[in-house]
Amino acid sequence: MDPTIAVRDLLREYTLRRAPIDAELKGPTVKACLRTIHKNRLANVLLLNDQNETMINSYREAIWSTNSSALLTILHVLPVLENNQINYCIIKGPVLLEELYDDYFFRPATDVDILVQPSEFDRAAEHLREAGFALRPACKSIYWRFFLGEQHLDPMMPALSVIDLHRHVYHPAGLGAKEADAYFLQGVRRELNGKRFTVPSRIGQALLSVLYIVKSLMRSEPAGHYLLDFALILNGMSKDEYKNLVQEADQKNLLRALSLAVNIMQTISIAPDELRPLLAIHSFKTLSPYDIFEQLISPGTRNIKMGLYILRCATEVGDFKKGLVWEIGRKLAQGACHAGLF
Amino acid sequence: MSQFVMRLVASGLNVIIRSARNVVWSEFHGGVSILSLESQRYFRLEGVGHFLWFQLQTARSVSELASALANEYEMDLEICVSDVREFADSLFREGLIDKDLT
Repeated sequence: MDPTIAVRDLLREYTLRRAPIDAELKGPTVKACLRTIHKNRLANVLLLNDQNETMINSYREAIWSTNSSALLTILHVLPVLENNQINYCIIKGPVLLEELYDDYFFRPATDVDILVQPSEFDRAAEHLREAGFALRPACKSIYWRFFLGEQHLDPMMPALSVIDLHRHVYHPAGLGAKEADAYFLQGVRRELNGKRFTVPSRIGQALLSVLYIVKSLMRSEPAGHYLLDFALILNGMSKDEYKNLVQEADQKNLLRALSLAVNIMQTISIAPDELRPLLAIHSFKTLSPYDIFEQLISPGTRNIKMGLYILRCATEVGDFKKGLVWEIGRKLAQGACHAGLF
Repeated sequence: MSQFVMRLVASGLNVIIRSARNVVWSEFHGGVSILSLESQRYFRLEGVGHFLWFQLQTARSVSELASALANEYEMDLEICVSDVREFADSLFREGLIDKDLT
């Protein structure tokens, strides 16, 4: 069986059943299929059996180590953020996995991603430094501060994780990021061991998944896990929520990006009827949605150009140009940063 | 003898227990790893401990747990009751189970 098709079928079945699949993979490509499932961080979609036992046990052991540290880190920094009245939102990691999968350990979370308001970024970083985290020297560069919009703070104490402090959730095409960031910050409150914290609303999580899918396309990184997140969120939404999702995406310049993601959902038969009008926003003249899906699951299988992705996600031609210039600037800045020029 | 065990003995086998809310856990390599968010300590259960932990994901009385253990491992019920009491006591001391005395 082709690994991409195996992943497609698993994504569909898991989304519909919301339970691990007892899949017996067949044929000479079993190893390739398991490797692709693993690379896409989807191993826990499978029920443990003789075929996948070794892979899943190692995977879960690794997740245990990263995610338990991430949970302890969250508990450590929540009082810092809350007591200093920083406007923040935890945008990835175990607390969001629990929301979607009812499992803090569904896939690995190597760091704790926290989005803060840009005007509060330096204050948040300062409080985190006081709480025992040190800014990684490489992150002081303009490349990290401006282009990536994030800083990594290393823990000074054992058993804690790196904090990835974001000032924006970068979207390569268009001006949507600023408006979207403010929206993600207006999240919902949750609780962990009696401590309250903020995560994005369900619609916020859907839009974030869309952004991550686009980012993965740009970076040629496997994105099966983001596709599954998006599929599960879509599958659990009401008609009103679909309407709100489209409205919010439109207001935040993310309609084409959402359309791209919905088209991909169509390839795994998860696109809801209410979102079908979005399918037409993209005109796939040279690529089919399945081509994009394949690129997301097995990057590098086809030679699909970065500019084409940007074009497909941009709302207007002007945004396409800005996205392209931004991306070229980012590459130059990355090269200069690695060369130690700043 | 701890207070919890004394209450267990005093109330017979009707104590209802279940895994605590402030613990997170994951199963791998034939056992379960547990993290207490309260004490920030890690634990590992294998074999019978793993089996009992799985049972404790829903509220159970000590006698129910002992019966389940006796059935699963074909053991004498009386021995199981004693073992489960001891096990529950150690989990309680570490804050890994919540109790509800009926």
